[in-house]
Amino acid sequence: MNILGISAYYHESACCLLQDGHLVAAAEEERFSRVKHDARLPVSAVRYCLEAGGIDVADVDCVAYYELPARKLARQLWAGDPLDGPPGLPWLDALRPQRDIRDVLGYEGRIATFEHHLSHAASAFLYSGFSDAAVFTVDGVGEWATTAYGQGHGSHVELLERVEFPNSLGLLYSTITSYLGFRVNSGEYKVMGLAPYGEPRYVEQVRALIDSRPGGQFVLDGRYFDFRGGKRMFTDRLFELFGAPAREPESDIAPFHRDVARSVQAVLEEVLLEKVRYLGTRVDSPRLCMAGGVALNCVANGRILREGPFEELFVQPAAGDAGGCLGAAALAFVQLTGRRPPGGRLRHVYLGPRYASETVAAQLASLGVQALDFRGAEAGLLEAVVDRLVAGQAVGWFHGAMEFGPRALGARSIVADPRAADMRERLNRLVKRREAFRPFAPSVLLRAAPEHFDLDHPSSFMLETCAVRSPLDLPAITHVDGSARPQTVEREQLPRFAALLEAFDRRTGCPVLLNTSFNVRDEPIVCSPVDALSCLVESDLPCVALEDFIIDRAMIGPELARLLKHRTEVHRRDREGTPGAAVYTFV
Amino acid sequence: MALSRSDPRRAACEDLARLLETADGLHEARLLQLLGTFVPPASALPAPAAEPEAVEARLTPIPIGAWLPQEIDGQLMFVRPNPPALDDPWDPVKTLAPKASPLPVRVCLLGESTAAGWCYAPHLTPARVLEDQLRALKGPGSYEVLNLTRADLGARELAELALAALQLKPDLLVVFAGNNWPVRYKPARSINPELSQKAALTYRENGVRGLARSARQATLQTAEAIVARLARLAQSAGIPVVLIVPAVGLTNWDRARPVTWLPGAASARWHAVRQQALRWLSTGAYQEAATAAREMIELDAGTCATSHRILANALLALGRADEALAACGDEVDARSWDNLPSVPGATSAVREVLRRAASEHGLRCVDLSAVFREHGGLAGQAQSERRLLLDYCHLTPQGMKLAMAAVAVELLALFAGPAAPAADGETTLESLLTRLPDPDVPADVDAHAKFMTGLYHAHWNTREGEAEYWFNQSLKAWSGIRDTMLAYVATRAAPADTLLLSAEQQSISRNSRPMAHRVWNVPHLDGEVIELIGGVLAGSGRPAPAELGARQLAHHGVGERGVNLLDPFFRWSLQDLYATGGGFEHDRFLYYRAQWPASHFCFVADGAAPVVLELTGRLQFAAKPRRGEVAVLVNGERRGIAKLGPRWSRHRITVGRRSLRTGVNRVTLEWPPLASEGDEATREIGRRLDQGLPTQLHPVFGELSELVVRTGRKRPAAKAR
Repeated sequence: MNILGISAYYHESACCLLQDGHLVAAAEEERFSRVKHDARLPVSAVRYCLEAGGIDVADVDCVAYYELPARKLARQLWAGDPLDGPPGLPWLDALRPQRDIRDVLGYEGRIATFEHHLSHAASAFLYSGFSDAAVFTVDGVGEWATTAYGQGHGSHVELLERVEFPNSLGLLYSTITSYLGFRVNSGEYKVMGLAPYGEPRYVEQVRALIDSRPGGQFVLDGRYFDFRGGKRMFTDRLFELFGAPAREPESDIAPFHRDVARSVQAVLEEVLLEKVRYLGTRVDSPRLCMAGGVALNCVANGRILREGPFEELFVQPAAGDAGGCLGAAALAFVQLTGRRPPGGRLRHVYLGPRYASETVAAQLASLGVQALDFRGAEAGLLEAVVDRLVAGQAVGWFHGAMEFGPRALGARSIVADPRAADMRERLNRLVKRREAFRPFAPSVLLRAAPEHFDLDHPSSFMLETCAVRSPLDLPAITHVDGSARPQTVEREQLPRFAALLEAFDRRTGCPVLLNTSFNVRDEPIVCSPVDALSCLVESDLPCVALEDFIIDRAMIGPELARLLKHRTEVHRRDREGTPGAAVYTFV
Repeated sequence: MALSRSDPRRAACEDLARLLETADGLHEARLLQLLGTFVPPASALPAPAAEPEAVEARLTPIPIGAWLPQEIDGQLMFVRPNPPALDDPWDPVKTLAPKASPLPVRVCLLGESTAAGWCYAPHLTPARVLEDQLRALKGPGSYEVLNLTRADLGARELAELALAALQLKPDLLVVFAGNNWPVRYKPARSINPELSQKAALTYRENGVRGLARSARQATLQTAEAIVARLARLAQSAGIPVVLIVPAVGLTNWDRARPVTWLPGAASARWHAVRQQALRWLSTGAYQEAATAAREMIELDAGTCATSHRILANALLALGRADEALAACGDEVDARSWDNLPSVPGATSAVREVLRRAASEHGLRCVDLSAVFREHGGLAGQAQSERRLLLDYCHLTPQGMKLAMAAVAVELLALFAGPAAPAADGETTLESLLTRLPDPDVPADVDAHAKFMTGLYHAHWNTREGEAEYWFNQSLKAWSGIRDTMLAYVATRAAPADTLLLSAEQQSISRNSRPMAHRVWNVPHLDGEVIELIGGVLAGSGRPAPAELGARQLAHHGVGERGVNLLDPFFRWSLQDLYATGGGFEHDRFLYYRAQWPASHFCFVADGAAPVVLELTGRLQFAAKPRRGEVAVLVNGERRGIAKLGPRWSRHRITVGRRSLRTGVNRVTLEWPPLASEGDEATREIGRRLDQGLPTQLHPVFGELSELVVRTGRKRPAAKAR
């Protein structure tokens, strides 16, 4: 049985394939189109998933779509025609997803649609391996719900209570993100990263924005928000509340901004903890599953695990809208078979395209790149990479199947020595071209994790933070508050990446590497070997380990470098119709 | 901002949404929208006070195309950024400065790809030819011509460029444009229902003829607006403007497009008549072909370029050149509204507006079609057209000479003093032509331009024979072009993911012509061109080396894993890749859709083992489910049939090795004829246009979700790329 799960039309569109309940492929459209946050029907991702499954569209038994279009339309009607929306009211068309699935994909069979937050809930619970659990989903908004409380048992997931638009923790956080001058839907991480640099001086002001009621409900104070889809999400009253206007994008970040970031983070954690505790009173289980975009707030997740009423926590690695396709597909499987997808706990997310060494070799040869060839010599490859790491270089690491979800987890990563004092500043400035305050996360061998982090369990997806307690000095991955967001690595999940960590440990006595996503600012994470080469020339990365090959910068001739930069530039020019930077996508 | 579950507005919104989720409900809402009576509900969210918008007056220098204003030593200059973008289409002059002295007379040439010199740029351009001519006549310091042209310049951009160019204080503007002005229906990433509904009204009343007419009307308005703006600029700057009316290639460029859905059985009949007309053309029955073409024109109400082209070809063969040229002009006009892939061409309306500009706005005009007819012998003869035109509008060196000489006549008449024409010998085009030398074109430049022209024909011209002609011409111009040809073939042997990059590398290292970049850079195996080049080189006595074929096999050869021929890389014709997604349609599909009775693909095989073709196909229908047989041919020989119906079905056809060639093989699928369901189809088009839904105007003969060719028997499991 082949089930395609699809999420599309609002934020990251994505596709996954379940074959007899097993998750065999998943990818976000942006990785193929090179349009960040590509929200179109994910034609390229569908093509990839079908190819990975060895099938074509005629073999698909069910397409599962991650939300209910008519119910979403009801909310959009209630909220009114967006002020800055597309002309001609195209959003009135609630039939669009199903129609496009048939017209554009050529699909003839059954289409199942599921409530947005139920898809989120299923993406967490049905991939958690838990036999039962409480389920908590939090995002900007789905159809009406912005937050949902639920439970899972066996193959069954249900939502018990919802908080509805316009009362939304995700929109609250996005509003402050926008107020702080960052892009909505991608800048939230920056606010989270900025928070430890500030003091919670504005907690009272942030608390004034939200009235958390007893039980699961909360209400936003509408005087401060503008969710009508205009040019911003807040009103002038917000300036009065904080005593300052909004920060201009790209302008200097002042202590005030850091304090606001800290304050909104603190209030978010407060409310989330409170609601998780409430959920604990409604669902009798020691386990909690989480999804929805706000579940990517790993700082909050850490607190939920440590201070909440649950003993175990599973957060869907692709907790945002892209992951909704996983949940929808799983729900469809349950509907059709009465059984839960048999895969158990989602152990890894390496579900995207992979490139055989011979393919890479042919591509490099066609471009005239004289790479170092380590085919059949993995040990030599690893030592060569470690040489470069120890010499203070960052290395683009491209190996195996691409990750699904926002985090790079050793398949499409940039790795570096976490002990170097200036590594964070250098990487932010030269390679990632992003704000200096942005922290980097570590990858650590599972066996060594407890020695270096306050972590007593596997944490494979960089979804929780914990304290750094290493005997080593690891400034590049230790955030200003002494925390980190680690990925624990086991050989059975990603052998070569684990072997790299082992090799680095043997050489240096440090089983930890800095691991950040293989991309530059405003670009999607790399997918193909050519993307990796493009990133190499676009950034100041000195080298790339591309499957069995190492390409140092000097091996890319000036002509090829120019071509690769041009390719990136053409993709940038092609970007049309992506969501506005300052406002959430309401239609 | 509390939202209560008992909020009555919410219940109403949910009821309305449920209705809108039905086809009838959405249709009703769109009709109300069309009539202006559907008003979206006022938002239930609070409305804060609007912010006043800041307005800032600016009086600063503006960029002139790629040249940015910059103060250097207290002087305003316009400077190209360094390094230029790879696809930078502008003339590679670093700096432009406002004119500071009376002489030389400064002419700014503005225009599109034709004005830019296309494949001969930057070595040879109309601007350079004009400058050389004027200096040859009036002396080295008499005139200068600034080249402000670029490919793909649109109408609005032209107007902005003309305004910006005034900063250079020209004495005169020469505008050589109009090929990019015709308006066509383009797909929007998200369809604008309001535009779609305007089209729906037109379609309801006049069918596709109404859509074509609306597009022509829009083109007319665009052209008139541009010309009026140029006239105003000229008046305000106090300088003359010379408009060059582009000549359109009529005999050597076919602009085929499939017919749209027509009522009743007309679309099916049209295709049947077309097949017959083509057979008559190929067997020399030109009168019969002309009659058939006229029937096609009647069926499609003149909206389809293909019909006019067939008529033109028949009339040309019958020696009725004037009628043929009229049919060619109709072809250009018919193509303009349904223009996929885009073939530029100044329509009759655009050319008329440009001609009228002289009398209506006091602008001067050089009508290249008339000039070419009178002085170039351009009268529907293929050879004479090739002497002046590379393709549908771009000029050969001779064409540039003739065109610019005609412009020079106009310029000389405008100026007094040293720049003025002499009393004799410079006031007529005939006299000028006898005095002016031919443009000096190095042999390798000429050869490269002709090779690029051949590629361009192969990729975008549906007329056969032209590519081969230009490939042969390039070899005649310079034998060294052989290496370039082989290099192009070699680029097709790169892995698909890196083909564009490696092709581009070759292009950069071999020539510095910006136009070459776009001609080389096609994501395509290009089986047809590989064959043509192979034939041309073999004909020259120096065939292509065998290792090129071996490299192709290595990267693209069919193996057990199989090659998916639906990958755009394996389409036989590049036209096929870009022919869908026209007005109101989706711009991409997961599967392949055939808009012609036959579809062509290619694959690379070693010819040593049989291959298996696996095909998953279906037949689209508008009224009743359609069933039929699709014939599968390999290298022109029928190898099997697949019986298709309205739903996807899978078929396997084995092709023995004797039917295979070593190297590129061609697969053709001949689809069953269309059903007579034009009434249902056109009603559906109207309905979808009403609702602002993606709409396909053209019938689809058949669809493929998979076309894989592999060796071996079993379908292997999927593995890494």
